[in-house]
Amino acid sequence: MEPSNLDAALDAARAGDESGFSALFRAFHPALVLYARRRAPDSAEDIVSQTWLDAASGFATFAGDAEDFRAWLFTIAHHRIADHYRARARRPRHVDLTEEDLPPATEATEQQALDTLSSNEAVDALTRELPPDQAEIVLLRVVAGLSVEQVARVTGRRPGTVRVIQHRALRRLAKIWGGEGVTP
Amino acid sequence: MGGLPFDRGLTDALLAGKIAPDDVPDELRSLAALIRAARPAAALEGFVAESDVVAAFSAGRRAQPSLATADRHRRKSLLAKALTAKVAAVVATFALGGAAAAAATGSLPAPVQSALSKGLAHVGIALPKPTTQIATGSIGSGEALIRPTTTTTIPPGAAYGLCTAYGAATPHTGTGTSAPAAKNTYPGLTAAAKAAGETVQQYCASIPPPSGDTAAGSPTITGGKPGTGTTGPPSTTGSGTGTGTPTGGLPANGHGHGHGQANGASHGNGPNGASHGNGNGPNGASHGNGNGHGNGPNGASHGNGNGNGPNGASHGNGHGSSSSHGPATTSQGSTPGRS
Repeated sequence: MEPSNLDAALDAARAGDESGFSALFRAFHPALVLYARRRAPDSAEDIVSQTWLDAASGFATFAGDAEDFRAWLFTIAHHRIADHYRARARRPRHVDLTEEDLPPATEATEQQALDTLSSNEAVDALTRELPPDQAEIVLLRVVAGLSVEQVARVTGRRPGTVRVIQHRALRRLAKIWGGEGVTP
Repeated sequence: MGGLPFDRGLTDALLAGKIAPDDVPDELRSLAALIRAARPAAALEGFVAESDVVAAFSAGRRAQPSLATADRHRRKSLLAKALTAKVAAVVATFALGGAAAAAATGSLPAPVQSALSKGLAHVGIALPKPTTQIATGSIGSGEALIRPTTTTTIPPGAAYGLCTAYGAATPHTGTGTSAPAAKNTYPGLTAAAKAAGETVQQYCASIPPPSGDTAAGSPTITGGKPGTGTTGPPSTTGSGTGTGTPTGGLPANGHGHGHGQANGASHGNGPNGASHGNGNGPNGASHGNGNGHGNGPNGASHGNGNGNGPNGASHGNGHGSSSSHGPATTSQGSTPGRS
């Protein structure tokens, strides 16, 4: 949906029109699913549903345009994921993962990337080899579609820091996916 | 190995999926394709039903007013607060205005009037001082705490107490309260006398002591019984007149004690020729306390008068002392006041 249409949907939702909020949901839900799947594969469904319920019930407190709504939505998801990992860190682990428990490594090729990878697989291929901070920045920029400034707000970093991290991520990805070398 | 031109523009375009794989250097073509593939499909569904989310949206709107509504409520609240503050300010202005008017006319209670007068003097505002002195050196009066009334009638008992205290103040010629000061201290008494067309002394002379209070305010201790001393009976008049007149002055550490009972009877008990007199009047008129103390070879005496009227009339405390050296008697009065 075009930004102007998203702003119109936002205005409609503010006026109490459910169809306006439905339009926002359809516009941002796919990105939210991809983001949550990659960040918290075992709890993505809970995180996505809880994020939307939070956004829907707290919509009256939101102020801003459609791009602000996008950042607000992913900020909620970001916090939900952080909560998820904090809770999991407190949970005692009794079972060690075995080789069979791990998902098979994807032998992604250029052709697969171009032709056969689903969005979910592409996201996995894109972020699998990245450190967590770089993976998160790439996800928010690529999947959520946020700007550097928005990512900075969501993650609580400075924009300059976000730029540095995303640059390192691209150099690494370029090296993995065919680049011989990348100048800083 | 040549480096790729990974500038900010290319980085943003790649990550935003705004650049086609064909438009990037060959080394980045696969990455550009992967990033494009990673962008969410428009029709991706699952995880949560749209209807559930929309229901939560509607419930949230019902439970929580919109920002615009909250804004209106906040504005109303602020308006109400502002109006309340204005009303309070108006009330305070009238109240303070009344207080200021009272202060300007000097009709506030003496302590308040005094504090206001002193405080405002620092900022150049002159207010009358309280009509009753609170400071030491003057006889205190219960009238200090009594608002001036429009009537000049004083109950006889109270008048008697006032007169007793007044009388205790006026005879002294020493550092005690002078008559004008005492006059200022007893505006009610002065006004009552003036209304009767008399001087205060004349007025007071016509005030009989309350019944059963013969010693009230002015117990006359004619002498403590001499003990081993030979000091003469000090004629100590109560009410702080301090007119002890020891006639002796022989060596003795005299100490007498006279105590006026409630019925005005008094007795002196001075083994050594001194006396202490104390009279009490229980009927709301006055409380007289005479204290005579004769001491030593010089026959010094000490008189203490206390007039106390429980009916809001007066409470006077006079303190007089006289000392005599031999047959000669000098008098010295001081009248610390208490109100």
